[in-house]
Amino acid sequence: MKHIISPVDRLAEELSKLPGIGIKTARRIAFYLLNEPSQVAKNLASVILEARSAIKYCSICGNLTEKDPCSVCSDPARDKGVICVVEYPKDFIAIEKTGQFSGVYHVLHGTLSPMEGIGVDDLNIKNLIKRLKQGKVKEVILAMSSTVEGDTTAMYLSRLLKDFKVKVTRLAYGIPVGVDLEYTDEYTLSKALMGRHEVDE
Amino acid sequence: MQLLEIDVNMFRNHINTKFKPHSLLNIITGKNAQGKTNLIEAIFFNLTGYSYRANSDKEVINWNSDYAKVTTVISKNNIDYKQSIVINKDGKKSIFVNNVKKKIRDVRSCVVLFTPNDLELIKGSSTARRNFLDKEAGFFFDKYQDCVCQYNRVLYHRNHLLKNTYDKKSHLELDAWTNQLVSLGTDVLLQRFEILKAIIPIAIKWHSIMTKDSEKLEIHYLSSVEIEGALNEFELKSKFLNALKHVREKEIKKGYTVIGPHRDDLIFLVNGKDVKIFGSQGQQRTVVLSLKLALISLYKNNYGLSPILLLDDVFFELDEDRQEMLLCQIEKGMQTFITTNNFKASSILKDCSEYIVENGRLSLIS
Ligand SMILES: Nc1ncnc2c1ncn2[C@@H]1O[C@H](COP(=O)(O)OP(=O)(O)O)[C@@H](O)[C@H]1O
Ligand SMILES: [Mg+2]
Ligand SMILES: [Zn+2]
Repeated sequence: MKHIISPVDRLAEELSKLPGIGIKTARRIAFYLLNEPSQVAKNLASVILEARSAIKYCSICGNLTEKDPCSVCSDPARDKGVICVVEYPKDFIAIEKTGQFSGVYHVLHGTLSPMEGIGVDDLNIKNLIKRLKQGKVKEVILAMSSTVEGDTTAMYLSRLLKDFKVKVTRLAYGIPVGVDLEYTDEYTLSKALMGRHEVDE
Repeated sequence: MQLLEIDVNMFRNHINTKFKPHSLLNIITGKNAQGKTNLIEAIFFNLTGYSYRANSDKEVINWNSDYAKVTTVISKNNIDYKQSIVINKDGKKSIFVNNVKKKIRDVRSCVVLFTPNDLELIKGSSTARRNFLDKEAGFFFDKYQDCVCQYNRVLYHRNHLLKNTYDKKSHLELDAWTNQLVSLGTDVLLQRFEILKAIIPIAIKWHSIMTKDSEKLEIHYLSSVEIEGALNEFELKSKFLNALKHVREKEIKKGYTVIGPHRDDLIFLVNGKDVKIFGSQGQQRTVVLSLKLALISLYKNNYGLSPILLLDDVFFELDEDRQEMLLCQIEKGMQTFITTNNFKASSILKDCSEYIVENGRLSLIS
C-alpha cells in the first residue's frame, strides 16, 4: 500500500516542530491557513523569510540582530565592563525590560544538556572567552535560569572564568527553583539583578 | 479522611463500578481474576495519581476504551469534594477537583497499601527499598520529592555525558555535573536520614509488640558512598566528592554513575542477622507489617493525615492475633478496603459492608 501524506498533514507536522505547539494546535493552524484567502499564507511566508534573512547573530554577544554589532554592543552609553550571560535571546529581552541593567550581554543559545547531546562546544562560549581575553571586563553576571541545567552551566562557567581577573556573580534568586527566566516577573528579576552575589567556589 | 463515593469507569475490567463505601470496613470478595485488585488499584490511582502495579499508567485503560476515569467524593476535615482523574491513550493524566483542573501534587492523598508483593521490600532488589523511602515514607515530604526529582535529572545528564560524549577535554564539564550531583545527592541523603529517624523507632516498636519482645529489629541505611563519621552537610559533601574522584576512571570506562543515593539500600536485621538472607518467610512478613504500620503512624503523627487503608489479599492471610491488632488500628477511624477470595466471615468483623466482584461488576451482599 502506498502511503500518501496529505499537504495538510505535512504542514501540520512542520508547524508542530515549533516550540510550544502540539500536534492538535498545529492542525488547527494548518486548517486556518488553508481556509483563509491565499494572500494570508503568502504574507506570512514572506514575512518569515524576510525576518530570517534580515536577522543575524551579533558577532560580539551572539544576540539576534539586524545590524552587526547589535544595538547594545554598539551603544557607547553601555558599560562594556559588565557582561550579563544569558541562555537565550528571550532572556536578554526579559532583563532589558527591567531597565535596571546598563552593561552588555552575552547569549549562550542554550545550556549544557548531555541528555540532548548539548555540550560546551555547542554553546556560544568561545566568544565569551575571546571577550574576556581583551581584558576590559570587570564583572560577569551569570543569569542562567535556576533549573538543574542552568545551574550546572553557571557552575561550569564560574570554574572556567576563574583564570581571568573578573568578578563572577550569580543572580540572587528570589526566583523559584525550576523556573525559566522568561516567566519571571520584572520586579523579581530587578531584585535578583540588584542582589546578585559573588560566586565563591 | 473518608471516601463517600467511588465511581470507576473504563479502568481495567471495570466498565462502570459505582458505590458508596462503608465509612469504616469494606470487604470485597470474589473468585480469582474478577477485578478485586483492579478496584483497589483504581482507588489508589485516584488518591495518588499513579498506579502501583502498572509499568506504564496507561495499562489501566480498559482494552476497549481510549480513556480510564476514576472519581471519588472525599470528605476531609469536614469538607466534601469531588476528585476525578482521567488518563487517555497518550498517557496524559488530568486531575479535577470539583471540576477545576489541578496538579497532581496538590491532590495527593494519603493511602497505605498492603499487597502480597510487599515481601519484595525484603526479598527484592534495592529498588524496592528505595521506592519505599521515595514513594511511601517520603511521599508527602514535598522538599524531598523535589530533591529526588532534580537529583535524578542530574544523574541522567551525567550518565549521558559519561556514556556518549565524555572525552579528556570535557573534564571541566564533568566536574560541573559532578558538583551538582554531590550537592543534590547530599540533600537527598540528609532528608532520607530525617525520614528514617521518624519511621525507624515506630517500626521497631510495632515489631516488638508483634513478636512479644522475643525478637529485636534493627534498620540501617547502607550508603554506596563511605560516609562513616561525616558529622554535617559539609563533611558529607566532601566525602561524596572524594569518593566520586576515586571512581572517576571506572565511571568513564563503565559509562555511568556508580555511586550515590540512587545505589543506596536499607538493611533489616532481626536479632542481629540479615532477615533477607536468614529470616523465615514469617519473620520477613513481620518486618514488612511493622514498616507498614509505622507508615500509618508517620502519616498520622508527623503529617496529621489519616490514611485510607487498602489491603489486597493480605488480611485474612494474617494469623488471628495480627488480624485483631490491625482491626484495632482500623477502628480508630481509618476507612479500609479489604479484598479476599476466601472469605470466611471472620467473627471479629462487626460493622462492615460486604461486596462481591464478578467479571468487573460489583454488588453489595450485606
Ligand atoms: N486494561 C485492561 N482492560 C480490561 N481487562 C483487564 C485489563 N487489565 C487487566 N484486565 C483483566 O482483569 C482481570 C484481573 O483482575 P484482578 O483485579 O487482578 O483480579 P482479582 O479479582 O483476582 O484481584 C483479568 O481477567 C484481566 O484480563
Ligand atoms: Mg487480586
Ligand atoms: Zn551584541
